[in-house]
Amino acid sequence: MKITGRISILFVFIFTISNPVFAQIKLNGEFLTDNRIRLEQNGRFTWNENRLTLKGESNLSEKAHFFTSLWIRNFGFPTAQSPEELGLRDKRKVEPWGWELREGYLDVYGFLTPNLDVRIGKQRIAWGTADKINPTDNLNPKDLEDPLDFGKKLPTNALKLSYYLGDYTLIGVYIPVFTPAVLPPPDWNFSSGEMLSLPPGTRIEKMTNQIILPDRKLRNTSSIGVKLSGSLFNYDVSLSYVYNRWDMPLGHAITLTPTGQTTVEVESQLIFPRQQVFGADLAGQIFGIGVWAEMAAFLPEEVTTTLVQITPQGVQVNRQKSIAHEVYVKYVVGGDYTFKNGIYINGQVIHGFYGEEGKGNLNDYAVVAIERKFFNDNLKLRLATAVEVDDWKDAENKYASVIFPEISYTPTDAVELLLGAYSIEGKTNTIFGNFRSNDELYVKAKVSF
Amino acid sequence: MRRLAELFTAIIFLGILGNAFAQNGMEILKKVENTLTAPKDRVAIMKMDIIDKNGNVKHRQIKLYQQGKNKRLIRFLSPADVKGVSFLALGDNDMWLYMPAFHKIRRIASHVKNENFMGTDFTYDDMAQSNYTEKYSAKILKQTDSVFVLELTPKPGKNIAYKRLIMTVDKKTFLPTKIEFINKNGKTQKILTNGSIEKIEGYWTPKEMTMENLLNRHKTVMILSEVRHNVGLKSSIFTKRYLKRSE
Repeated sequence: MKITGRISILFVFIFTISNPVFAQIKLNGEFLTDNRIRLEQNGRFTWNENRLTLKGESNLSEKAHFFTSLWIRNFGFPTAQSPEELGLRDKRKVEPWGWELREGYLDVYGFLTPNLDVRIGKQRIAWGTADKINPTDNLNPKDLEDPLDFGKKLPTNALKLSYYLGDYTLIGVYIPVFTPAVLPPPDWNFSSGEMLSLPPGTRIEKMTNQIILPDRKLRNTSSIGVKLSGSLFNYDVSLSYVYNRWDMPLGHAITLTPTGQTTVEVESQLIFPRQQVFGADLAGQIFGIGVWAEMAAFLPEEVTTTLVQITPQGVQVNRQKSIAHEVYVKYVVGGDYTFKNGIYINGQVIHGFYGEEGKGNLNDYAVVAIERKFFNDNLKLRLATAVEVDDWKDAENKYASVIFPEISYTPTDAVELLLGAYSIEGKTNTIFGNFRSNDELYVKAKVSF
Repeated sequence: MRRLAELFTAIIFLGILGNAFAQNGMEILKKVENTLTAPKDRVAIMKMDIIDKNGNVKHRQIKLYQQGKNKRLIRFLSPADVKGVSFLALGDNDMWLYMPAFHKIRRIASHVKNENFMGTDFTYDDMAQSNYTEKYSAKILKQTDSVFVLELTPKPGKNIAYKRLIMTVDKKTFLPTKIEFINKNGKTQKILTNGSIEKIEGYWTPKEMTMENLLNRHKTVMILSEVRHNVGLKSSIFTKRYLKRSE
């Protein structure tokens, strides 16, 4: 069925682009190969991806435009467990592969009134002026498949209305279907804080997490967003509001059952609470330095976690507030500058990272990137570093840092070769510090056509 | 005493003459500007060859929309890795870049304006506008039967990367045939040469522009084709709304 579905997608894609209506369709895309190994763990291979992105686009008329983007990729490692699996016609056990419709939407310009544009379909709606870490960018769920590809989101089915009036734009977005975030692989679990605290000496023998998706009714699955943007005193500014759900799951009901003297089985139900997000951002310059600031005030609905402990003495039920109906604020302030010698520097201060939600759970980060191009822009060296401080009073024991050196080389137009690494250092009780044995080296090659 | 009077007269005469030349310089620059922006609007395809000191060539193709002195919209048509990247300039302090890969429009700060535009030898500022009289004072350095040679110096408070420009203006067309860009160290950093000047739809138009960087021996040759004037471009084209649209 899965294969049938995927073949259907391909069929629709091919039919669409070969239909006479789309005679003027332009096809382009890119091919990427991406390979990564752990610098520790004896050079374990962690990423093996060959991805073909096909993009089709057509201006159907002056008033309509169609765009679609499809990923076809080999991704992962052989999973065959038996000779029979090696002999299957479906080669996914030998060579995992898949399709993914990234985007597919229709634009109608000047819909009903000349000032109104409509976009309908699966789309990426990117809000915010900061660089990659955008607290106001909450309409598309996070795609943490590649945890260090900050800012990557999953396009979703949406209706977007953009009304233009002079220098101002009013955007309204309606998203009918709830889509949860794609979580990082288990060795990159970003979730902050302990979900439950066990008695000393007790360990989890078995854990079952059950995701409770919202009931498939519009009032439960829908999200809305509104944004007003414009220019004031040579600054681009915007105000936004979003009513949606957390895209990362939150523990709601947890049952602990003893399985031995010091072991328990944990069963948990995870939900996606509602939230309101009030956002604001700006971008401009001060003394020639590019500057931006972005903040979002989150107001989640209150969530109470029920902890059921089955003990020889009986059943204990405790309820505790896991998320309070209280405002918490995430923000990013940053700037960039290009020196006369061609060195480009970009810096940001971040309060609140992915997976950090709720008042009191937000940490501080500083990110600085320096890059310089050589040999007629064919060679680019980039060094980025991120520093995390979880507690300024005890920064010595609550810090972590990541260094990302990268060399990119463009031997010819539309071809890029990349060699890079990330090295993580820090205390284990920090977000990044938890991954300090995940240092990796990567090699990528990309060709656009 | 008589010598002193002669000297005084000479100084006044030279001063008046210098002033007259300065005035003429500005007038000529104004004519240059008017010639460059004579059509109400312009649409053209520009083929760019970016050539390094070893002779390696990279190709770019862009579509240019221009209206008046300040409004420009430039969209990359090729190569594939920059296709769709678009640049909007509405004046000195209002420039934006749209990068389709990021789905975002980004305001360009002034530190970027003097940077090379997408790997070419033209800066963002070079690509943005033709309002020379707003930015520069001009005086005539010399003239021949066929050309004026002007010296352009930045007006106070203008963020210009160069100490001065030496502009050679063709007397017949009032188009600059050559501009030398002198950097703050007094060295000639770049030379722009306008060639293949033709009258297209009644307007003198340089169809070939070569910007050569003398410091790194790198150059960009820009060739215009499909040039159309006064096509009645709507002002809505020069907006962030249109910047995101594809060709």
